[in-house]
Amino acid sequence: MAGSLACLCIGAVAGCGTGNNASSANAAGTGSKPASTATGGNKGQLVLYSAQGYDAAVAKAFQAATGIQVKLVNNSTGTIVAKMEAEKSNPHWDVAWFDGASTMQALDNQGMLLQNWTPDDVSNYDTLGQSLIPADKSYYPGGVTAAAAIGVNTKLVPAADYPTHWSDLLKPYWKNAIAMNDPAISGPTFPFVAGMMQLKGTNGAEQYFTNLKKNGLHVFPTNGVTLKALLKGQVKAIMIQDSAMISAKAKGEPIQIVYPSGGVFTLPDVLSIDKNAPDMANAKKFIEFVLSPAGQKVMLNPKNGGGDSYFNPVIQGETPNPARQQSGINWVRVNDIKAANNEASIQQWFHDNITQ
Amino acid sequence: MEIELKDVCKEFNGKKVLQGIDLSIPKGQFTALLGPSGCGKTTLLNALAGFLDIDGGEIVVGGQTWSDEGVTLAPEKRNVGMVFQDFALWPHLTVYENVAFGLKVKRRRAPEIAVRVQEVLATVQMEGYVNAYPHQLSGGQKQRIAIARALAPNPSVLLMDEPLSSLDAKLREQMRWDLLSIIKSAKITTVYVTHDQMEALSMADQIVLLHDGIVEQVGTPQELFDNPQTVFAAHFMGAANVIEAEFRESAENFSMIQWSGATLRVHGSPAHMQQPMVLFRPSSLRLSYEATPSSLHSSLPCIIQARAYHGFTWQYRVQVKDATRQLPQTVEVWSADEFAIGTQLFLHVPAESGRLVEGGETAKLTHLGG
Amino acid sequence: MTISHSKHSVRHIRDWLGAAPSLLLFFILILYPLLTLLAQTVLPNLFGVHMSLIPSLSPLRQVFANPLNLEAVLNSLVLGLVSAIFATALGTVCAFGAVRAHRGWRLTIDTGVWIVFFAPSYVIAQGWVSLMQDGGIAAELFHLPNGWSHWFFSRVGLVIVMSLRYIPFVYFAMSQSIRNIGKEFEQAGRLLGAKRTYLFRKITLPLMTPALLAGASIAFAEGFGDFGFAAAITPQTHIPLITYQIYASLNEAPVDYPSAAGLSLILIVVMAIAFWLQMRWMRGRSYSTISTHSRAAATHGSHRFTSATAVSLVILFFALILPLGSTVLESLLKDSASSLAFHNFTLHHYHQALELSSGGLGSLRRTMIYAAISASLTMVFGLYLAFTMIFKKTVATRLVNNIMIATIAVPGIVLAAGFIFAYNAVWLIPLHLVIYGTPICLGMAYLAGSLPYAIRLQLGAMNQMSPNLLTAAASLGAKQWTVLRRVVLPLVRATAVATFFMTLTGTMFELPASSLLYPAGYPPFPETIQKTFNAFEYARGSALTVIGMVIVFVLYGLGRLLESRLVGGELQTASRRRRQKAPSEVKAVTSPTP
Repeated sequence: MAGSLACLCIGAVAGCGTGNNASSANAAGTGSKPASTATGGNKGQLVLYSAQGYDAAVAKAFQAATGIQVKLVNNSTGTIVAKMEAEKSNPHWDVAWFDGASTMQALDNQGMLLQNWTPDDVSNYDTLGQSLIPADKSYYPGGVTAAAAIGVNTKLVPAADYPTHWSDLLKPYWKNAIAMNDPAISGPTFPFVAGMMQLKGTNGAEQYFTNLKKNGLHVFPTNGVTLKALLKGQVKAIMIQDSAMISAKAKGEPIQIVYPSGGVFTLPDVLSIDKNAPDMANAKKFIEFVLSPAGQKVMLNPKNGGGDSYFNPVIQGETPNPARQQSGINWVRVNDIKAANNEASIQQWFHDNITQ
Repeated sequence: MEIELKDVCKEFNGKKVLQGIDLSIPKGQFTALLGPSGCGKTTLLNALAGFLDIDGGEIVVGGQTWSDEGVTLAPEKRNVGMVFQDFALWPHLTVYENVAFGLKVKRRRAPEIAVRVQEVLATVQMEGYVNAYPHQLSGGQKQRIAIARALAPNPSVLLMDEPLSSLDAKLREQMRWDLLSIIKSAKITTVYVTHDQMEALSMADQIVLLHDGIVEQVGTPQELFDNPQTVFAAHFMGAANVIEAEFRESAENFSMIQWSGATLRVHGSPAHMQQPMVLFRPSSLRLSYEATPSSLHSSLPCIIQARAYHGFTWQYRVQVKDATRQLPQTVEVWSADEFAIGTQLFLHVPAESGRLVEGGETAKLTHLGG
Repeated sequence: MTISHSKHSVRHIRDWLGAAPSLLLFFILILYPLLTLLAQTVLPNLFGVHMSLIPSLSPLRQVFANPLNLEAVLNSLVLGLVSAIFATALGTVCAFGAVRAHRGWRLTIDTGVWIVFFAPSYVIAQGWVSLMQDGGIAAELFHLPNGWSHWFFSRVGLVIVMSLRYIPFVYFAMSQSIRNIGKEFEQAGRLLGAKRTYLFRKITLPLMTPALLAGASIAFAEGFGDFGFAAAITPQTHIPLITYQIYASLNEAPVDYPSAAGLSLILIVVMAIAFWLQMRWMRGRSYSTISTHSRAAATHGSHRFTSATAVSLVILFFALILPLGSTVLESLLKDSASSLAFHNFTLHHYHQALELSSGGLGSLRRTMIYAAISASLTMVFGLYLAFTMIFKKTVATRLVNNIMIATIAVPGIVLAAGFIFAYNAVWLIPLHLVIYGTPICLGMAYLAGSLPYAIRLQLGAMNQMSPNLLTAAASLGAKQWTVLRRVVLPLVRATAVATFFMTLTGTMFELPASSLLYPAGYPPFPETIQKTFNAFEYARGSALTVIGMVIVFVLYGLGRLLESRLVGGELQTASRRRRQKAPSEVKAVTSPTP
């Protein structure tokens, strides 16, 4: 009884996932790389691994525009990367898309990404966008956020006391009232720490974080927890990814975002193509779509991407969400290759001296 | 100590399990509570032990009230020893620790405990097993330890709940002898629950026969066996033929009955009986090829229906043709002689071998051969 | 001589053949995935872009060279032990409070414990954080100053929360044991004059040691292998734990599977040692406490509201009402900064969660199917594997048993990663057996995750069954399958139902395997919840979780109802049989007296 029921149900699940078998068949044939035209009838498919909030909407728009069926795997960046690493001997993905150029660079260092390919619409990029493309052209930015800006609780802090520099937070006024994320857990926080190392030099940055700790810095696991601590009044200022704070502000939360004049660190969302992508042609089309005005429009709509839609566009002619500060941001591009190479030691240092 | 039960009642979910038990258990004697499953004997034992509150009546032991309506002396304050059906030896304790438990609880000093444990273990002939764990013992050995444990603190009353029923038949018989000698040497008031009439007959000083929550009959083993008052008692105490018969006349102690064309003289008078019936012990009837009616016995024609050999005796089921009632009746007869099935014989019923018993309403339930 | 010898070896082979189905199942679901992962500790490039079989000890050397790892192992050990001890005490109290209470209270406690068991860890953890943090629900209610709960967000709070969380494991083992323990064992002691407390200390508790240890060992395994709780409760004090080290090696670029594997190996070895110690200690102490005949009357008169019942209710208040209540409140609040005023409550998030386009509902439906299948299969396989382990004791089955139980400690993400390596391996390509990326692979991972628990629970139940019950059936010519179905299953039905619902819920909220293994384009429900939380939509995520839990509770309630119906019917026939027995016994005593 139970057995036959189970068989029935397996059939049902398999039914839901029609076409998956084709995907694995493609994967299985990676060695000989047959062109994938298996499902969707005419245009084939695309397997997208993504951690972006608006990925489903972009996938849908892309599918509507091209007829290519998109199979989406949405996860946190950590899980996406873990998955890609685990299947690297027999990859199933075509396009990967997540925040954090240094993480993508680490994958590139292992030779997992398609290099030296240029999208047809690469000229759409503005200067900031162009500056974020790596030399080996292994990945492309879809937009950019600040790895960290300062957010203050407007109910607790009068406008006169808003900080303007990173070093303002070392003042006694902020004693025990500042928080950031743990870079070992929170994806956007590592570029922030690595950026500080780049901006102030390793010693200067280590000194800065040590002083912050002396001033009672709290370290929470992720954006959400830290943001909550700010809104609940547990702390008065936080240093987290700006888009998360803009999203909260847009919902009416009492928060003001400050971009310190010393500079904020670029945290682009980046797209790359699997070196052995089963659906190579479709993968290239997808990246070109993301760089197009049609793709950007979908991404910039908070209804599609929630917090992730409050990014700063790097495509000419695109304007960010009105909730976002438009100008006066001093962007500092993080050297991703260096950051990726030093990640282990930076994480270790932060863990031993700040988190603990 | 002497135990007095007065009108003890107990209900479970509206079912009356004990319906007014009046009983006196004499000091130093071995009393068996006998009866079929569900008769209330275990409930009565649990009430004696203090595991159950009683709904009515009282239990008085040695002048002290143990149970009363609404009052129950805790089991641990009763100074009662108990031997359980499956022994309930604590598996995590050694033989010594099991037996010493009751003494330790009473805060006896260690040397004193050691002496007493050796003493009771000697009584049950298990001196050599102090360090064994229960799972290393055989059934009979467990039984002995269970008794030793119960006896160690010198209880005033020993309760035993079907203690032999988990043993195999051979061992059971051996243990019967051993148990009796242990208990007699301990000179302790013992209440012994069993459903096996052989155990009760062979061991008890007094048998209390329980049936559906009431006391059916109390007496010595001989009294219960020889002189059962009811059909139920007659059947329960051992093999019995109970027949319905026509009454011709009756005197104070004797009656004349008509059975299968013969007139028989039997003990007892139907005067105060609801539904008098006649009991014949299978051992008192005889089988013969010839009809030799005399003043000493009547002869009824019969035929052998079935037989079983028991080594020293044959057990026969014979059909008596009752000329007057048309319906044949089946009777059990024991005989040393061998007869083949289907043999036409005569059943000799000695005069005064029958006895009137109360058929009452329970008669139908237990009527032999339905 | 030769004949008997060859017979012996034939039987030996037959023993192994008999164990073959369970071995195969074990190999496919657990051993192979785990081995592919662990192999990387010595073959770090086994699953590289280009496969290489060059062995290297550097991953292991790295693992052992890092002093933080040793500290983490010690921390995890201490935390696991302490919370297991507390959980054992609390669970035991609850078990006594429930078993010896009136039906109503018993049901209340039982259901409460089940909900604690079902509730996903992150819901409980999130609930505690919402409750205890500065400006949290407790602070709002009692006007507590910032910093009042500083003590809570430390090891102390962690131990409290973990102990409360692991109560069910002890409770299940203990309540079964209390129910089954022969009442005579206690009665004998009382008649010898022992007071209740003395009796409890000297008789009752020692008799329950096997159950106690079984429960405690799972609690320890859970505590030792837990990361989520620590991450949620002590983000500031940050205690290095072995699971954290594993998590870090998988979440920091570059992802380092060989070192995750090395750390997992440590985890498995520690668990195996713990279980081995337990079994060694138990040897010679195994005793069946069930008397051969059940005694219906023995339970009479013991149902009262004891202090244990009262304490159980208090414990459940802390283990269940506080954290879950906080989660529910959170899901009803307009936004995270709102105060607990009535006008700030809204059903908006539920509305949104249900609306969540067709994707949310689709994933819910998908997961219900996964859950139903994996729960059914877990129940069946768990029953079968436990059955072979108990009643066909061979070296093979014992080995399977031990490894299976040790895998309880392997973090879900490690096992899930093992599934990628195992079922996406290049050597499967020519065989067309790359099932990674298909629903079957995800279903297998669910099964692998729940099976060890199911077996552990079933072993506990079956251990208390007399082997004679099976011998009796086998002697009547019943085949193994028939024995299992007709004799064993009816006796362990309650546990079977329990494992079914455990897996059902587990699958509803299982995250690591769900996120690593789901077929592209068809996310399951836990993914949807996680996605919502990842987008910082706490209220909506809580709402989704609450919806999922309500579904599970409704199903569970239906299951319990069904089960009690079944059990009720069973008892009725049993008592009818008993009543019929009386006349036949009367007949029996009319046999001749020698």
